[in-house]
Amino acid sequence: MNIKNDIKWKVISINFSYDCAKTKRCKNCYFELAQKIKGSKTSPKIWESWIFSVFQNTEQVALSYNGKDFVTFIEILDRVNHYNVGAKVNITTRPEFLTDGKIAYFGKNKVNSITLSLDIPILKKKNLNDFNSCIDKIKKVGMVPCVSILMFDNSWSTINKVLPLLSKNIKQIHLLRPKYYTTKISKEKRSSMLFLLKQVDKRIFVDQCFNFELNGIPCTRGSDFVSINPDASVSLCSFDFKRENKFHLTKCPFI
Amino acid sequence: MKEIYNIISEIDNDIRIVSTIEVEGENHNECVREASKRLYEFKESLRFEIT
Repeated sequence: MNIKNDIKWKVISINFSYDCAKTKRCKNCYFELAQKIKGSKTSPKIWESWIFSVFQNTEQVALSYNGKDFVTFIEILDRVNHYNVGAKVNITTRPEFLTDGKIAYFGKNKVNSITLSLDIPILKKKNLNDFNSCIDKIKKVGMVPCVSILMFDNSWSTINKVLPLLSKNIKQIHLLRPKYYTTKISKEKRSSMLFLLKQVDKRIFVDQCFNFELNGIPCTRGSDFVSINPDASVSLCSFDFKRENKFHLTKCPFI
Repeated sequence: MKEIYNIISEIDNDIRIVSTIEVEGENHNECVREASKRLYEFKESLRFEIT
């Protein structure tokens, strides 16, 4: 029996993080990572064999661009396009990393959508005209512009003010709970947030963590998320109470 | 029976690889293990490169 034929790779996402995983965005973390990557010897053979074996039949490929080493990044993008002509390719990045030249390059190289990652400090500081202009340029070269916003406790009031000012060209707005970040939302606040999310803008999507906090409904992660342990064994999420759990995971990968 | 699984692999919180796979057939556990093994090998090769 060849089990490889039973596996269909739907999405592959490779993210070189520029956010500190446990607290708010931390520039030191980002620059430290950038230094690590800059100093490393990229291993073309590893990338090549892996991309060939996995990307070949993957429906969607999600890459993140952290503003550094554009040469390596476009090398990866070229290989994805080379091995898989049918995959939808999304690039997540921050607006300050996108120049007109990069937008044009992505548009010419089969990138379907660009997701701009934002956080509240950026939304407060950034001139929204510049940001909206960036969104419009993305659309102009044939890509779908999306936005993802990290949701901390104090984010809601800013989001509320900023949403109406964002370009109408944005196809989807993702509100994401930062990893390892969880808090309790009061019942009143939850109701008003839900009301606005449903009424104001149909382009808004929330991730499972945020959805869990908003709706109070247990997320489905417990039933379909698995995590790889340091010894290469596989665990189900610790939120899974329904199945007979053969594995044990001490910490959920997201919380 | 088809089912969707999300597999997460991380390197020191710096690089995160998430894959979503659809599994057919009866041997879902084996399929998830196979997919996880491939991601794990890739992750470990990256860890070696960046540290």
